Amino acid sequence: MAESNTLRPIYRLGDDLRPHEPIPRSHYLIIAAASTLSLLALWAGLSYTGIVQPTYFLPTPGQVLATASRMLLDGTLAVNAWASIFVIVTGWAVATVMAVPLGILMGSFKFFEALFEPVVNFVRYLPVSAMIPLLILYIGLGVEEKVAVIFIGTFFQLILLVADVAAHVPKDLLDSAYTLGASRRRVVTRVLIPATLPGVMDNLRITIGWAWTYLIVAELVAADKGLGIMILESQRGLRTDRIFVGLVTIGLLGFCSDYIFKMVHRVALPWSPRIR
Amino acid sequence: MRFRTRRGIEVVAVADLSLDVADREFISIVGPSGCGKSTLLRVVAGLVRPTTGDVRLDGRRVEGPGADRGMVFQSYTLFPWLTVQGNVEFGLRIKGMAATERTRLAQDYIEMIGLRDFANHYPKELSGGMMQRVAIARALANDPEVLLMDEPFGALDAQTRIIMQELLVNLWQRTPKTIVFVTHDIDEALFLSDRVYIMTARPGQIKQVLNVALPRPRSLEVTTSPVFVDLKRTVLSSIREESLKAISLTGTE
Repeated sequence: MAESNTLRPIYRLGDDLRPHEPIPRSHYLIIAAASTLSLLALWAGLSYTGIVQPTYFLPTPGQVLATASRMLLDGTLAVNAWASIFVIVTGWAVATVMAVPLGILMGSFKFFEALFEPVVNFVRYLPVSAMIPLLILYIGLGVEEKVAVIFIGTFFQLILLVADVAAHVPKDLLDSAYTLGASRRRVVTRVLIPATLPGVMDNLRITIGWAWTYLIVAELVAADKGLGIMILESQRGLRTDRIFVGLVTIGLLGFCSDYIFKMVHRVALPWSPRIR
Repeated sequence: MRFRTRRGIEVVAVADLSLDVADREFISIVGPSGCGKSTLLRVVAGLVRPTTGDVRLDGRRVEGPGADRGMVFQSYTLFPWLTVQGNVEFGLRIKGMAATERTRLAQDYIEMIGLRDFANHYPKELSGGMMQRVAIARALANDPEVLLMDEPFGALDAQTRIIMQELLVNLWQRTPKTIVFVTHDIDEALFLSDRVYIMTARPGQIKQVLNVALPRPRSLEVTTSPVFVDLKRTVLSSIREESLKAISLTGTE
């Protein structure tokens, strides 16, 4: 073996390009870092050299950092971020409290599927933005309207995702509980519901991510603070640096919520097959 | 027993069939695939309602699933959120057994299946063979009148299977139960059972019953004895006949 190795190159790209094969962790980290750094480098290159004209189209990383630190210090970033977090978490939490039980019912009982599916499948294709006029009419321009946008954006999706999780609980799992003497009620409370928890957790994480994408829509109308309205107003003043700060903040907050959910999953459901 | 498929075609899965199983007897049901072996077990378990006919346990008519008929499935059915201990205690908890008694009883069964060191592990940390051992312990700890086993070792590799068969025979000898065991592995059926029922192709009926006159306790050497080999030949040709029928009926393969 050794003699044929003398001409082997240190690294062959082909080794890392086999479908479904693992690659060394060090390679993974290097590739991930390279991708992030090239994106930053591209941004820096395009903005500092002034290739992109007019220059306010693309602020430099330095400008964005400076704006960010100024907004952090004077508190505007925190005020806006907090307003948005409040709207998103409230809308999403209300959606969760209602969608999870309904989804479990819908996925587990054909009766409830027949009851809810036509409505849910119809409403979920309606664009949330198209309902804003109605929402304003019904509940006004306050924070409730913004929470309602997030609620509508996530509720109907979540109910179907949870229904799918519940429908995929293996039948044999329920049947074994029956043969161990469990009543129908016990099978639901002691087997069906716990069995859905990992899938439900995953979908809660995914839908709160979607909630962030509805932020601009939610803050489109009559918002006085929030990251969405901050971005919208920055456009008027050609403040692309502030838009960038807003975008990066949303990205980071989404990243954090994802991380928090993964940690909660790990701590609350240590038995979950999705955790190694 | 008759069933209706979604398209409304009536499929007679299991036709006139009657089985009488004596107390503490170990019987196996073998037959060509699709003959309704599993359906038969599910009917006995009360998980599927027969269109005609009934199941009687000690003369009482079976109306639905119950703790008196335990079942072990081919798929892994341990509750993932419970530890090995919690899984074995599941049925006892439902019965309302006191905590100390429940714990002790579960520990005994976990000991019997050789998984004492894994009592506090979650199913995701166990191998397929270990999970099936726990499933058997869970069913036995509940002390059913009859234990129904639907190809419980079907998903395991050949070596693990043999170990599991020996373990099951051992367990059965220590805690005698009436066992109805469905399999398509003829060696398994003969090695384990007192009697082997051979089913016909769909609609499934009992074609033949064989008494397995092999002394107990049995060890693996029994599988090479002349009596065993003879029985195996009979079962093989009997099932082969039925499988051929099943293939020509459906016109596939």
